[in-house]
Amino acid sequence: MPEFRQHKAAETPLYAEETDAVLPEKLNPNTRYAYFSTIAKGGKSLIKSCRDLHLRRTVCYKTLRPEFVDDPIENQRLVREARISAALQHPNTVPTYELGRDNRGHYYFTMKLVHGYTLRQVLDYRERYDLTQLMKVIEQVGQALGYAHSMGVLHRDIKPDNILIGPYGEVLLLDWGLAKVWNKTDFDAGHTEAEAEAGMTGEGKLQGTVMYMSPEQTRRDPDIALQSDLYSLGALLYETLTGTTPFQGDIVHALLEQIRTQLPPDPRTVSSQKVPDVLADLAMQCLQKDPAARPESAEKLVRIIRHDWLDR
Amino acid sequence: MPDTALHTIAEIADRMEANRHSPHCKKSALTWYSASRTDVGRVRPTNEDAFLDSSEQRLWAVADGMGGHSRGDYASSTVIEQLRAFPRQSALLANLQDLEARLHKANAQCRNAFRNKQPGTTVAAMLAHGSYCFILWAGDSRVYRLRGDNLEQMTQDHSLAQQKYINGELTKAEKDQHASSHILTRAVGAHTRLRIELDYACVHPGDRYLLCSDGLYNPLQHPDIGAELGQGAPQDACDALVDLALAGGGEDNITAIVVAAAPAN
Repeated sequence: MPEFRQHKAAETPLYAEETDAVLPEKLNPNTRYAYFSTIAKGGKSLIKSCRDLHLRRTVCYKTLRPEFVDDPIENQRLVREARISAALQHPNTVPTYELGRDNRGHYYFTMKLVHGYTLRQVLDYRERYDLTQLMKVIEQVGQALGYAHSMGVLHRDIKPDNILIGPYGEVLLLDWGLAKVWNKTDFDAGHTEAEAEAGMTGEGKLQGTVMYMSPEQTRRDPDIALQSDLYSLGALLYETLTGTTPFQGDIVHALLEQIRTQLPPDPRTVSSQKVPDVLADLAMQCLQKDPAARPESAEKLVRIIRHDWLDR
Repeated sequence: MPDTALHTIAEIADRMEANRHSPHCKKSALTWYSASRTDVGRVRPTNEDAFLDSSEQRLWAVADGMGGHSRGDYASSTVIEQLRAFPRQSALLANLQDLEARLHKANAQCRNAFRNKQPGTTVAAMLAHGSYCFILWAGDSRVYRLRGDNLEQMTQDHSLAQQKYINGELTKAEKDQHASSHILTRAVGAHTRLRIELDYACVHPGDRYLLCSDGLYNPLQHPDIGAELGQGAPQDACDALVDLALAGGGEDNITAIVVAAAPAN
C-alpha cells in the first residue's frame, strides 16, 4: 500500500549550548517569542512560526490580523478558540501550549507546530492514494470529532483544508475558530449558544465553507447539533470516494439551494472507480437533509468504517 | 487565506466598514497612479506575458503564460481579456465574485480551446476598494508592497518549493534557490476546478505596489526591488526595474506594473 509521503523536517539538531542555557531570574513574557515568520493568513487571523526562547523550540503562534485587534468580537473568538483547542487533548488534535498577550496587549496563543500535508493537497492527487489509506484518515477525523462532541464542542468547519497529515502519518483536525459550545445552564434545556454577544457568530452571516456545510448550518439554525458535523464529514467522505464534492454550484446561491433541497448523486454513479457499497451508503446517510436520519454519532461512523470496511 | 471564501470576505468587508475609524486603517481618500511595461527579454522569441493596467477600474493584473504548455500566450491574454471587461460595481462582494467568476471562465476557456494543447497561465491581480486592496492570484506571479523602506511580498507562490517550505522540508533560504521553485502547483488552465487564492490589506497613503512576472523578480535581489520601486514616479520605477531585470540576463519575459496610492487632494 502506498504510504503518505514522509518528509525530513528542516529542523536543527539539539546542542548543549541551547539545552543548558540559563533561564533569566526574572522572566519577561514580552521577550519569550522571537524570529517570527508568517506561515498562513486567515481572513481575520495570522498564523506564524516563531522561536520560544524559554524552551528553545519552534512553535506555532496565532494572533489576529492588525485590522481586527481592536474588535471585541474577534478577540473573544480568539480566546475561545485557544481555550477550546487547549481543552481538547486527543491524539488527533494539535496541542495548545499557551494563551497570552503580546507587548501591545493583543491576544495570541501558541500551539505545536506541525508540518505536513492537508487532506486538500492529498485529495488534489487522490489517484496516488489507496482507498484504505484515505479511509484511515476519515476514521481518525471521526475519532477526533467523537471526542469533541463528547466534550460538548461542535467543530462547524470540517473541510479538507482543516485536516493535516503530519510527518509521522498522524491525522490532526485543525482550526476550532468556528467551534460552538453551549452555556452550562442551558446545556440540558435549550442548547442556547454561548456567544459573547448576539452578533458573535457574524451578524447572521454564514460562517464556514459552504461546500461542506450542512443544510441546517446554511439556514443558521440555532438548534444546530453534532449531526451537522457528521454531514460535513459525510461531504468529505463523498469527495474522498468520488473525487468531487457532493454539489458543485459555482454560484453561492445555487450551491446553497442544492445543499438545502437536493440529494447528491450516488457515489457509485459518480466515481470512475468502484466504490464499496458500505462506504457509498454511509456517505449518503451522512448527507441526509434530516439530521435525525444521519448516523447517530461520530463513533457510529467510525465503527462502520472500521468494522465494515477496514477490518472486513 | 487558503482560498477564496467569499462569505468570509463579505463579513470582513462589512466589519471594515464598521471599523473605519480603527487606528490600524483610517479611512482615507486615495488617488491611484500606475505605470506598466513588458519586455520579451533577451532569450525567448515571443512574449507570453500579458497585463492589465487600469487605474480607472482600480484593477491591475499580470498573467504569465506557461512556456512548457503550448500557447501560453493564448492563456495569459484570455485571462487579461476577461479582467479587462470587468464592470466595476459599488459593492465589494459583487466585485470579488465577478473577478473570481471571470478567472473561472478563463480557466474553462483555456481547457477547452484546443484539442491537443493545454495552455496555462499564472495570474496576480489587485483590486483597490476604499482603503483596502484585494489580491487574487494563482501561480508564481507576485505582488509586492513597499511601505516606507519595508518591501513585503504580499503573495505566496503556488510552487512546489513554497509547498516544501510550508511543509517544513525546506528553509526560507533554500526555498528560492531550490529546483522546484519553478514547478507550479496552481495555474489558470491547469485544473478542472481552479482555486484562486485571495488576500487583503489596508492601504496607507504613500504605499507602492508592484505586480510582476517571475522574469522580473528572478534576476533581482529583494533589496534591489525595494530600492528601485521607491524611486521617482511610477513610470520611472517601472522602467528601472525592467531595465535591471534585463541587465540581469533577461532570460524570461518581463512584466511589471507599479501602482502608487497617494492621498487625494
